[in-house]
Amino acid sequence: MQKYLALTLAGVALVATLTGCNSAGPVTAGHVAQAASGFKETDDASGLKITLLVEPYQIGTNHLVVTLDRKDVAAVEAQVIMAAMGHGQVADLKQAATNQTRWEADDSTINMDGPWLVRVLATLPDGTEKSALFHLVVPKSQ
Amino acid sequence: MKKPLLTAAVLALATAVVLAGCSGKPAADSKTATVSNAPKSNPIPLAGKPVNKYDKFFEEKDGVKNFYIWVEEKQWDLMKGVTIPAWTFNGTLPGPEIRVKVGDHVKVHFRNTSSQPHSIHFHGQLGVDQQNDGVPATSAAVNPNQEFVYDFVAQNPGTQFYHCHVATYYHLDMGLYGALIVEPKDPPKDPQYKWDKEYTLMLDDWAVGDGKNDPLKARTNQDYNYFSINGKVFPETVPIEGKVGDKVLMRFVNVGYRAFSMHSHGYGGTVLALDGYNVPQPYQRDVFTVNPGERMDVLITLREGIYPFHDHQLENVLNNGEYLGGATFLVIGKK
Repeated sequence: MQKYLALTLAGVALVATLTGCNSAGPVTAGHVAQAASGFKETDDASGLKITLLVEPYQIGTNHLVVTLDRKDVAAVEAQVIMAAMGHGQVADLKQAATNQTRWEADDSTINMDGPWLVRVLATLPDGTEKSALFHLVVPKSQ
Repeated sequence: MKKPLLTAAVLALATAVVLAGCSGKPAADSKTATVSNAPKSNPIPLAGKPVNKYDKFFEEKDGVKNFYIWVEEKQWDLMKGVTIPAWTFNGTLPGPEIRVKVGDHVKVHFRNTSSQPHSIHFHGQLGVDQQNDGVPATSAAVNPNQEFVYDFVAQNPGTQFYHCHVATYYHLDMGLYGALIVEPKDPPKDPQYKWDKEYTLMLDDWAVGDGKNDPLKARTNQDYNYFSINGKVFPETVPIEGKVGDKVLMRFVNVGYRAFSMHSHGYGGTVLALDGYNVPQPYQRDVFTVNPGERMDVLITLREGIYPFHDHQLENVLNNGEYLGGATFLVIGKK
């Protein structure tokens, strides 16, 4: 009996964990584990709700995920800028086939710790641009 | 007739002739210097009427380009968390851009919806007559609840600006300015004067917070700690963006107290014009020093990547001592 109870509790805990993780969209358990150490913020000042997730949020190559509150956006880019120097690069994000509010880029390089800026620029179907500026502080390498 | 009387009569006749000449309507070919329907020299009081903003900014009517300007005193965010008390034209900082062509008949309807006297001076428009020049001593200060219609024909092409000329050192510094762009009558044929995009960048300095809440005292002491481009400090300045190969014209206007030495990373730029006048021979620079009141037109060709363009008077790239901020913007070239 105790064995069944333990298994049931473990099952409930697993379901509860996955349900909680699902609130931001269909993310995998792997994403959740990384998000704990990643950067995640939402900005809706432009009228478009823009959520930025940066994983693993460390010096080196990072995975950028932008989630929007509408599906018909024509293009999304992320300008990744070293805040102290003003240099940076532009990452063109690709729309995820399975979830059209989600846009991703795999190869964005952050090459030093400290303050960085990510400006997300979304182009709507009529050509209007909506942007959000995110302030990141990239941790030193372990 | 006695001789003194004759002399007086001749003098009176001469005076009458001179006065008649001065007050007569200008000849058609002198339209570039003045206009026939110059406004009354005194502002129109609006007492008894509700002194509201206008409901529009621009209207072209009967061949006249009409612009509508009012004053709003408001709290302005230089960046998130840094708010200043500002005086603005039409609630924005800078005020809205006035864009006309050489030869256009322009009327700027100005309604003073604030608690201070104000005026509008068209900096760089040298054909404006005295009563439309916006200088209180020779034109008029427009008091609260008054309206004035500035009336002129656009004469000097290029990058100009407009600003309040009442206690200029104070009113301009509180934010009462905007760009005035006068395009040439005909598009230039020379390809070096053609561009794909253009940006106007108004440079300014601010004294904010920490015992500096007396703006007049702070401004006369020139105790500045924030440096803005179009009313925002980095990182909230608007970047210049376009495709690789795009030609971009930057129109710098210094409305502040101090010189700004704008330096481009990754770019050489070509200076095309100073104060609206095309330079005899365009020249290359990577530091563009713009003095107070001065305008400079700089042409660049976008390349791939993100590069900073910043003031190299380095205290001007601090936000109250914090680096990197202030008069910095990004130039972004995309594939």
